[in-house]
Amino acid sequence: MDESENKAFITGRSIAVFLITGLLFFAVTMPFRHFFHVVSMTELRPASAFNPVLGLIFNWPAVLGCAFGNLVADIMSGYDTVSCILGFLVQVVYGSVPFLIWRRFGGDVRLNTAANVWRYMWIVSVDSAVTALLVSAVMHTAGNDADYLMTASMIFLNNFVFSMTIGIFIVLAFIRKTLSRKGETFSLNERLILIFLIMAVFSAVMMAWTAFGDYSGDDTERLYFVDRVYAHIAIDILLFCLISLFFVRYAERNITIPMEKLAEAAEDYISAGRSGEPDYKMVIERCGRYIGSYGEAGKLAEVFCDMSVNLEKYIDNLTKATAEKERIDTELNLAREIQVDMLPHNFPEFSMRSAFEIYASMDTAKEVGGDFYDFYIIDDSHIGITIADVADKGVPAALFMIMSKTYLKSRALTGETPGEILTNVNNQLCEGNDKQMFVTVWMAVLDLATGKLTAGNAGHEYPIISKNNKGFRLYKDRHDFVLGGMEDTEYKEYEMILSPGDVVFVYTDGVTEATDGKGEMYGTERLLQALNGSCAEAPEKIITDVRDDISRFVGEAVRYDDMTMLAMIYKGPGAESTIGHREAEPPPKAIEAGTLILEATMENWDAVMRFLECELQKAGCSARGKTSIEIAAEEIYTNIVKYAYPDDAGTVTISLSLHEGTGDGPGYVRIVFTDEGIPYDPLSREAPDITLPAEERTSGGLGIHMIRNMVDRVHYEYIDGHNVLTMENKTL
Amino acid sequence: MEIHKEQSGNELVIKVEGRLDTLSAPGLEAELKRSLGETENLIFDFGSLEYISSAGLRVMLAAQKAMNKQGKMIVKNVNESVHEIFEITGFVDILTIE
Repeated sequence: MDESENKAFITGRSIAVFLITGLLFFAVTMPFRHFFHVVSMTELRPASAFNPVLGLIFNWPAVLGCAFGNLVADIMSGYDTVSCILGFLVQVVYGSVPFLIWRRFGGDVRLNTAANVWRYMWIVSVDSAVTALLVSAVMHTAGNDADYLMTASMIFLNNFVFSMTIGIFIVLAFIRKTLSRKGETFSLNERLILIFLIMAVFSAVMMAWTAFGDYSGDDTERLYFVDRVYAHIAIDILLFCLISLFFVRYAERNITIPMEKLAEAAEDYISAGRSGEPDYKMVIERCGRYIGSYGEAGKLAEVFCDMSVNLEKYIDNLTKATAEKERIDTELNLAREIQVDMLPHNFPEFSMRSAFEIYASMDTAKEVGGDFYDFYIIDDSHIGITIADVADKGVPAALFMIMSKTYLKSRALTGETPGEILTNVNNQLCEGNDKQMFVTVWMAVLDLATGKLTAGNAGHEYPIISKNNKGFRLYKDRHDFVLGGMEDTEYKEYEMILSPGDVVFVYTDGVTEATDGKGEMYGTERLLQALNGSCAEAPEKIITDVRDDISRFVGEAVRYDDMTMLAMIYKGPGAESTIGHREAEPPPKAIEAGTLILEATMENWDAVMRFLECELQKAGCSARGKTSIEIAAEEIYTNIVKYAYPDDAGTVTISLSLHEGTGDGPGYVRIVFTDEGIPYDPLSREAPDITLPAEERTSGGLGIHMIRNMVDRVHYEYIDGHNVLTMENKTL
Repeated sequence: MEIHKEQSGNELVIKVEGRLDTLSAPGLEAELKRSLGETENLIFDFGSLEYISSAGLRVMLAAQKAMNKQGKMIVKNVNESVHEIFEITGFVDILTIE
């Protein structure tokens, strides 16, 4: 089967083939020669299948192997020399004719089409006929007296039958082996042919069985009998195969070959698609010719062609749609950037007017949003601040946001009050507002000289205000309707006076409605806690602290709403102030200091505590140190509240300063409580007996005991009408 | 400060979170007044208590005196600084601390 084998004629493989075929031939011939002898020089020879078939598969080595096997058998059977030599030559011819003719016509030796099966049949027939005549001629020259014609026909039939039965299956076995080495199997058509061939052989075997069962007779009749039986079998096979070939031909045209080709085309289409572009033209080319086929194959071919064309169209459309979407996304991103740029960012320059400090931030969710903040100077002593949230998100909200911001600012600049601004802007926004867009607004005008804040709230979140260091609280102001909802709505304003150090914090609902992974919202409580827990003194830090807290809360969850915040600290008309909790004159030898002045009430303990927390944190005090100091401070403060001002309220001043340690010692913090109340030395109280059992213990004196034992040093003096209590503790 | 309470039968577990100071102690006092009733086994869980001042101690003392009459009281999961306060004030001998 392999052309190149002829070039390297003597290879290991060819020698192996030669030896094996020779042995095989010999082994099969001898028994039959003994037991199935028909005529003096011939017998039932299944081995006759080997020459043509093995020759087709292995070419010359097999042919020679068989010929030599035959030679050895002849010698051992005692034939004369001339007969042996002639016999050898005949065998060579017999074995080589088939593969030489097949090679001439080209193509692999494979029984996968009706045409190939037909080719095999007539080659085998011709080969058998030629051999039969040659053998008879040999016998004639040897002086053999047997019936010349009968012998020839028997030989022909013998060769034909065995080649068409055993022979075909030997060929198929070798083809199967070769295919499986390549990872393939019989094609659809091949399998169909195999079925017919099996049936042909089956019927031949049946015929042989019944025929031989009838045999009775002697030697002389034997030749005629075998000949007749053979003839019957041969005709049976011949007719069966020929008729089968017609059926196979029909199937080839309409079923099996089209299916094979369609399957191949489909496979190639898919693998082309995987690596790059699916090629529908290739499909049409290869499947198109089968559209006319009768039956399922035709339908399938048509379907493949349609499908591949449709897929192509679909891919085209999808590519166009994706490109379009990307274009829109790019434009939206650009729009968002423009929107963000519109909001004022010049915080430092703005805040250089030392009467106040301001900072704002806006975090947009993915799309363009509708939140905004604004701040601007109205005149020498007035500023305006605004925070707003347009309903919905996306491009419509963004456009509405731009309009609202512009109207609000331009009205404010004319000097109108917030109530007037909101009323007028509302009407402006209602014009032509068919889409029922609306916006919530909180805006205020601050008089820097007096600290008077005039504000209006159009459906927006309550502002959060920290007044007099009492901590951040929700300021439940009066809520009017949203802006842009209904024409001719009247909006009112309200006033409050800010003192220096007061902080105004406004935000949008994206802040309070930020959700974590479990669907819980951040909420106003957490916001207040974050604001109160932050020791920040600058608006920027306040906002950063809140954003960090929200980030921690939200974690990995996706934000879906804009978050906007604005914080403003009013510092008062002068650049310095002596009131407020950060500008005290540092005492000598102190590194840092802070002072808090407030009314001596129990409610204010909260503010004192926060002050201490922040200052001690800044000083780098250890947790233990902080707790000790705070507990002692609480006792002292409580005493002042209870005893210093019995009749009316009074103030207490708390100053905190950090000091370096003496020599190599650790640094310490000093806190001084000063009040103008009745002279009272808390340290003069007797220490309680702490060894008493519960029933006999009282709660008196406990505080003082704790003060003494928790901090390093405590000292009382009455100076100039003031109670001065000093306490010192290491910071570590 | 936050108070979580769990009542099962005649056992009352009170978990106090945060700070027990002069402002929040009245809240604990009111809660005890409401829930103590006939409880025989009062347990304070101070696992999340950061801070206690004399105001808080007063409430603890009152509770201990009350429980001495009707059952027993345990304080558990006390942190280092709170424990120190109990030591300084001699409360370690009055309270049952686990």
